[in-house]
Amino acid sequence: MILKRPLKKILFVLLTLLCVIGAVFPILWIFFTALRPGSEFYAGNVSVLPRHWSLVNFADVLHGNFLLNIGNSFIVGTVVTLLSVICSILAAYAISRLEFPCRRFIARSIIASYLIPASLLFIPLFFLITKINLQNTLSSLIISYLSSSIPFSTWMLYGYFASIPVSLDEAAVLDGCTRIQILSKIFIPLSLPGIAVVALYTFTLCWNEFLYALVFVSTPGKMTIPAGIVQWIVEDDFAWGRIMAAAAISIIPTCILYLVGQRAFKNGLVAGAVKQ
Amino acid sequence: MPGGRPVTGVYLMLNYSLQQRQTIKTAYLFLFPTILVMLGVILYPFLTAVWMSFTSQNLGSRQAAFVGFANYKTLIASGEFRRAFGNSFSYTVISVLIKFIAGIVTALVLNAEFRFKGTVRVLVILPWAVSPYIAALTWRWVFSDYNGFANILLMKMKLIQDPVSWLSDPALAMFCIIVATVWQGYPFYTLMLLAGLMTIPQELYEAVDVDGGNAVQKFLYITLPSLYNVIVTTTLLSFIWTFNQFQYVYTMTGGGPGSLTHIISTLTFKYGIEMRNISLASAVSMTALPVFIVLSIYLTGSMLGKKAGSK
Repeated sequence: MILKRPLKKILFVLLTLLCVIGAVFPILWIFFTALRPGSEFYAGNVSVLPRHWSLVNFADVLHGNFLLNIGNSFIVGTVVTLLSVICSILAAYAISRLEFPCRRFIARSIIASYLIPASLLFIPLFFLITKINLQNTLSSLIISYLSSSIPFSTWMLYGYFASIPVSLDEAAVLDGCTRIQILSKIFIPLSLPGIAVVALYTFTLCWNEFLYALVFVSTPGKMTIPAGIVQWIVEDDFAWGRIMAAAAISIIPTCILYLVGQRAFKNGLVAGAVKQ
Repeated sequence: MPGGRPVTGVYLMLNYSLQQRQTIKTAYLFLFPTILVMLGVILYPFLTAVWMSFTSQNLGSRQAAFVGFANYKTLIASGEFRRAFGNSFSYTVISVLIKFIAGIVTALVLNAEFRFKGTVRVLVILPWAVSPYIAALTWRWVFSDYNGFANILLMKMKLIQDPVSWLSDPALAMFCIIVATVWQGYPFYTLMLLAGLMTIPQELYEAVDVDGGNAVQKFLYITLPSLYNVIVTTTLLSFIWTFNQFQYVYTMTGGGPGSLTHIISTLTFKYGIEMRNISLASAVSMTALPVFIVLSIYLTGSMLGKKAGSK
């Protein structure tokens, strides 16, 4: 579509600008809020851009429990990503290549369990976690996150594995490769972009998850970032500088991951979801 | 023997050759961790929730008395629950509709050829990289009574005289919650619809040009029908996710003012975690089950079917 008439072109540019501003402004607002000193909030009538730029909110936020929260989020994200990638490679390979009873049923169950919402599960999960004395531990979060990351990752990787020609693994079998060798020498190298997408997605999922993080952990030092930040909104109207500084810290890693991985992410999601 | 014919039924182990039995063993060995997680962290808690919704039980207490449908009767009689149930639907339907419109508009923009297209695409999809709870926090701050950006902007534009209390009025509060939900959620539609748009063959549009059709006709007769499958899958997925969103209402209003903006998920939290009545909370969460079952039956079929067809 090439736009020739000037009026049409101007309207198009305006529409595009509107989309961009609508998308980006709230994110800029997080940073504009985080980067102004507290005195600007007391004065009322806040300007759009900070009158004075200051890092004081970041300095206020980056100590004590919040540092622990950041560390906890990294631990949970990394452990879940590792475990989930390993489990889903194995599961996706079995479903896409091996012949066994109930294959179709298991594949459907995996998708259904990806769709099942956390809001249905958090009460009984909390009950069970309390029963086995795992409340207030990072393990409780790790176990719960695996339940949503493994099904999604398996489904995504299944799409990648299905696109690898069967002749390749037949040749490998003739050469005397074991299943594990077929996986490590053919499937994993050929679907590295897919595995990267799955890892990025899983890490982001853990980093951003809110409900389980809020319910399962109640000791401030054991919390991950989402539960940590939300503790502060009860305080008062003037805490927003600090809250937004914490928000900025928490979105920086995911935004970087997104910018780095956006091509892979897009192609990956497309390969996984829209293929017809 | 990898690949091979699809399994059409369940046979006795005896009917398999030694090699086939070996394959089956490997398959279940590979699936073991996944199945373990699904049974332990999804199926078992889910069945527990179904059972708990028919009992009377508090968090931490050992006794669980079977009470039949008593919890459900309590809910039906409760104005608070009926309001939350209705809110869940209006919140979801309106959010999904606006997300779809925003998604198709942005996808059409990004499907055009223009300078800086790559940058614009990254920026327009950026809200997707912001987690929902941060989106909720940010919009709560934007709609804050004191120093909130919405009030600053409207007052500078002379549209209002005094600051509006956005989140203290139930109707306005729901509007704000929907704004936040849509802002974070529309990029998913943009991505999916854009991917769909790129698969439409250009010849179809040229055929309309030959017949003298205009842009609106192209959109109605070619674009929308070609996107049908993508639209259905995207909308249903988004419907399930939005219906069960917790963080927007919890973070922005906490269900207030006066329980008027609660939805099913936040009411579950209130009853189960704050009031420690896990039975009533389970019953509340079960009322979302029919929506989930209907949508997921369709989605599991389409998500798997398409994949199988793409081999």
